[in-house]
Amino acid sequence: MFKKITFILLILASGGLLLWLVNTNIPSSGELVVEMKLGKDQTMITQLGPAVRVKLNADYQTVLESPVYFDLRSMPWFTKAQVRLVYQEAGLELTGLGGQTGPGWGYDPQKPLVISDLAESEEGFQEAVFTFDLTKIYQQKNVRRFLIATDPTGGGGELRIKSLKIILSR
Amino acid sequence: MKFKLFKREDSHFREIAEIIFHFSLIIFLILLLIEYLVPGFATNWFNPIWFLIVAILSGIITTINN
Repeated sequence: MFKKITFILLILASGGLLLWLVNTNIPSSGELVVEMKLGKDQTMITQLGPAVRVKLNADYQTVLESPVYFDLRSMPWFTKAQVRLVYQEAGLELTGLGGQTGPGWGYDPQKPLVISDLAESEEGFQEAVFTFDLTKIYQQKNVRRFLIATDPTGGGGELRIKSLKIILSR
Repeated sequence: MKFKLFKREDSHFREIAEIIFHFSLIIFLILLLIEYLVPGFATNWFNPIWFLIVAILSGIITTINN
């Protein structure tokens, strides 16, 4: 009896785990949101790097020098990505964001499609939206590298990044 | 009497350890196969190596009790 109950519980648990995995990786809405935790590497998205070009502050990350990179690890059935970057220019202007075009150093930075000011609570910060066709971005296994390009507007400065969110869709 | 009671508990413990061993090993192998076909399917969310660790531990318990 005890053995049967354990067996049934384990069947339910493992079935539940597999169903959860399928539902998480293939969401019914067709969209999966990946959010970067500033200064922390995650399995789906890395932190901004190289480390010498960025600095972590209390609620934002500072880009000191261009370019900076991050890697995205996504499932092959997601072919489109919308990147939402919340940033503030403080001497460095955001010029683009792009994916790696081939092996070696080759990137195609795009200008943001939309730039909008945020609410008063996040004064000075703006949100830039970029869209990418993931099939055109070079990948190793299922990891794609992106670049954030900036340009100094004056005698140097920084670009503050508050959040980076990627909405993957099929 | 006490001795018998312990014996019975030991037997239950071993049986459960055996079931857990089989389950965790099978799930680990399934996840390993899925991960090979679609890298990141499981490892994007958790580390499947825990299933192997559970399988090894329950396997050891089963062997000790035998």
